[in-house]
Amino acid sequence: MMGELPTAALQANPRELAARLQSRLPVEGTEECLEELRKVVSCRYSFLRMPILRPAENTLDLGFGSFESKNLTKNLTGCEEAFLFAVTLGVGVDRLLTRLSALSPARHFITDALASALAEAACEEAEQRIKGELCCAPRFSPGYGDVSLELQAPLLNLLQGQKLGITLNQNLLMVPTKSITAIMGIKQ
Amino acid sequence: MNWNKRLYFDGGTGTVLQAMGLAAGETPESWNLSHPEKITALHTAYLDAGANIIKTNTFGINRDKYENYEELIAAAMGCAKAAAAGREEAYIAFDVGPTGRLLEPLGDLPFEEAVALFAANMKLAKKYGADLILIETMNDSYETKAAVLAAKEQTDLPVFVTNVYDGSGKLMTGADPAAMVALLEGMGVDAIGMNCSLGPAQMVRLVEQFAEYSSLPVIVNPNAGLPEVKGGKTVFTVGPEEFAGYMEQIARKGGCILGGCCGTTPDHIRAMRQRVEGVPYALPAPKNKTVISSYTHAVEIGPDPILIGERINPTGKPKLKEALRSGDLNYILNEGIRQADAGVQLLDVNVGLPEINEQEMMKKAVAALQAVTDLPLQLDSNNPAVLADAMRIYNGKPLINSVNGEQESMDAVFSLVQKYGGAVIALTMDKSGIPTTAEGRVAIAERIARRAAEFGIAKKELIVDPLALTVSSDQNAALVTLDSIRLLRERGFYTSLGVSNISFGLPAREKINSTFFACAMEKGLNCAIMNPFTPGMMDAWYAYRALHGLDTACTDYIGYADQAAPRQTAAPAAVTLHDAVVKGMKEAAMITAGEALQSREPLEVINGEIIPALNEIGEAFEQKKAYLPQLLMSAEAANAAFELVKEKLPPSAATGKSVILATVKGDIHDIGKNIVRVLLESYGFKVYDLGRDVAPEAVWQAVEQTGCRLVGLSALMTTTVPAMAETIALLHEKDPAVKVMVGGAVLTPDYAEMIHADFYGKDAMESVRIAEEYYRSVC
Repeated sequence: MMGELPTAALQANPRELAARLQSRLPVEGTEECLEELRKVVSCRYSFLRMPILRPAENTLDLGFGSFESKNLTKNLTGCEEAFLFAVTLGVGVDRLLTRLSALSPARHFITDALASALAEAACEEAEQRIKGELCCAPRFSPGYGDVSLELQAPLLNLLQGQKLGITLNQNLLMVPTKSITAIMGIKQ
Repeated sequence: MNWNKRLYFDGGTGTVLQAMGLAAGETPESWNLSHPEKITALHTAYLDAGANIIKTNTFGINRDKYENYEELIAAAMGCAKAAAAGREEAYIAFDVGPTGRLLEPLGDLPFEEAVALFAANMKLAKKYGADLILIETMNDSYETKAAVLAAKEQTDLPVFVTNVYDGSGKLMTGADPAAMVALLEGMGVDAIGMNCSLGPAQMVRLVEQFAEYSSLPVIVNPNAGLPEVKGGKTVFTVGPEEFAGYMEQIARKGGCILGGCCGTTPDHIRAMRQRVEGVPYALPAPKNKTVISSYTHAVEIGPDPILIGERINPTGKPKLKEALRSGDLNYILNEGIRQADAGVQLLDVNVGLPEINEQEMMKKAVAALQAVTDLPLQLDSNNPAVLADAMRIYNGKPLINSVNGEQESMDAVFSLVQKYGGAVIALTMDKSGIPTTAEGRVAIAERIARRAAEFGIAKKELIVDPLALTVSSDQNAALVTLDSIRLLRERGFYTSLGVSNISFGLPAREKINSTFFACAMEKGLNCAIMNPFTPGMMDAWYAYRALHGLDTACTDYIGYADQAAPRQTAAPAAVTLHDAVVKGMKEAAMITAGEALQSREPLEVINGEIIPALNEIGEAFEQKKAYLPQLLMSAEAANAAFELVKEKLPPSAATGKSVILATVKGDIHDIGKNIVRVLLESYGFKVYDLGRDVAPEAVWQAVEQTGCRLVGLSALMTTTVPAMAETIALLHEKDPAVKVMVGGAVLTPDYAEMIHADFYGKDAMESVRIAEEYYRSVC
């Protein structure tokens, strides 16, 4: 299932933004950068609700092939289903960052920090919309803990990442770069 | 193929196969080998339902995904042939889907590699006897271009293209229908349109847009509505009758080739065909539009004059010449972006200098420019080989500058336009020079148009430049040019001028240029190649548009006038250069540097003001009293001041200190590297920035070419540290005198030592200290 998130619904968490900007003081120019960034954000997400199969100890199957992970097995304790989802700010953000990289390192740095914070906010917003009233385990993503980054490919395939415009490069990094995939167990 | 009646595509493949038992995780193409009878049955069901074009089950197959891709394709073709056998009208469309990877520069798939991937499939389409190629579900204009090129280079089959437009009517990477029509018509495809993503209801509006721009038959293959989730499964809810109803509307609005995509079934196709059969059919009328495009939008040439920025052309521009010699793409990008901000609609790109490899530089410049600006480009060279490379990698339909009346010029340029598409600036000159009369110039234009027609290139693709010669040597020069414009317009040609030539050799050239520009527009000039940083030219353009009903309610003019009005000065008198740098005030730094230079020696300004200010903010940063964004803004302010000071320095006084910087192979993070770059530059180092994802060999090449033996490498991910080690090993092996400093989020001093780096920089300030220390030790 796919959806779009209105850009206005995305608000960066101030504390997270400050951490990403490596600055405890308000940074001059942030407002202008944010305005420019918002113009190019086109946020979409897709999700699926899947049964959790446990074919062996510390082995999981969520519909995109079975894999081993102690961390995720622990995270999904007590859950029989999980939401899988992917969210992206769209390729326009990458274009803006490329442009700023040639134009101004300061604006590039600030805008990149803002975009990361907005991607995180988009993930939060998507999570709220997907889970509704359900109680869920904390999100988990490929590349965290012992969950292999290699799973990014089959997971995105199942989530129809291509229709969101999310692709993987040879190093398994997502492009658009401000994209997040996640697994979220549904607590009974 | 018979174009004189409506053709019908089949419907969904994957969604129908799922209903036939295709398991989750199983790919549709695997059934070509495991269940060929079912694939044939699917095709047969569609043909029985009234489709006359079937799509082969090859959407997801390519050489990278499947070693046995030929076997899969051969089997798919076998299924299609079995279903089509004995039928009077059953065309087999060889189906080509996207690679699933994003092309450079945003992704990491090189354009030519994409062409090669598609080419492997196209060869097989021909070998196994497809009737046409269908390139579908493409959401990126650049990948679409790669696929079309492959189809055209490997086969002579008809090529159909359908793209995926989203709710805002654009491709995922930004192109609107007008831009896609320009690109694809230019490349000589046979039918164009849309598929997937939207339901038929949402496509009606898009079909209207296609009908407005396209001279080619329009293909419409929607999904059966928008997907919904029911009982944990994705379902499409528009049934056959409802679907048929929308398709009837689409047929009335000009849809010529109709079918379905995800969720549509033989029942949908049957209902659609019955419903649509009675709608009168007509091929679209040829549209007489002259259009240039980028990867986002089209620019139409017409009564509203178009501004083409001339600043990316080394003639008479020492700074650009220097940038080209040292391979400084950043300078070119900044010139492009500044012109875009100043209001031009197209950018001319000319990088011809005798001492550089123009072909290579042109490719780099075009690739870099189209990564940072969405303005369409005018590719400018008198070398056809340079044009060929640039046109090939250009993401859109370019304007070509230029062709002239000489046979070799026309044959070379028109054969390129035939292949890649493009509009062309046609100069009214030939072997005997430039005719002195308007009639003479028009005669050359007409000869050029006749030759173009022999290549199948319409007259509308020519924009004639009747050439402005300076009035300083011939009093009649302007009058002949103006009269030529009038005459050319009467003969149905669009026109363009390099406006500023008119004043060559005269003082205060802008005064002549802007008045001449206004006169030319009055005669009907359509395009001007000009400098947007000259206020007089911009004044003339905005005023002309306001006076000729081209600027509704004078909105553009008023906006321009507001912006151009003198504003309160940005730098209060009290700010010193030192303060401006410390506070990161770029404009103020430039103003105060300019003032300081009037009374003091350039070196004194650097060493007495800029460097101490940088040291102050740098120390504050190291003591955590200032933060990284502040440090960066200070460095940018210092750079802006430094640029001004450099102009006053004799060339020999340049510091001669340089550093090569790169983010290593496989790593696409460049923020850290850019921070180091701006700081080094602010301290007067010449930085050769190789960019991100740079192969070890490319770093070594840069060392060889520049003679610079201090290299800075950045890596942000643990996975790319091996690439860093590899780069260091190669550099040390080739030349032990090369010193490498490393930095980046994942590195530690121990790690740096382990991979044999010569220096470790914990932050950008430290990299400056390292570089200074290095140059103290080698001098």
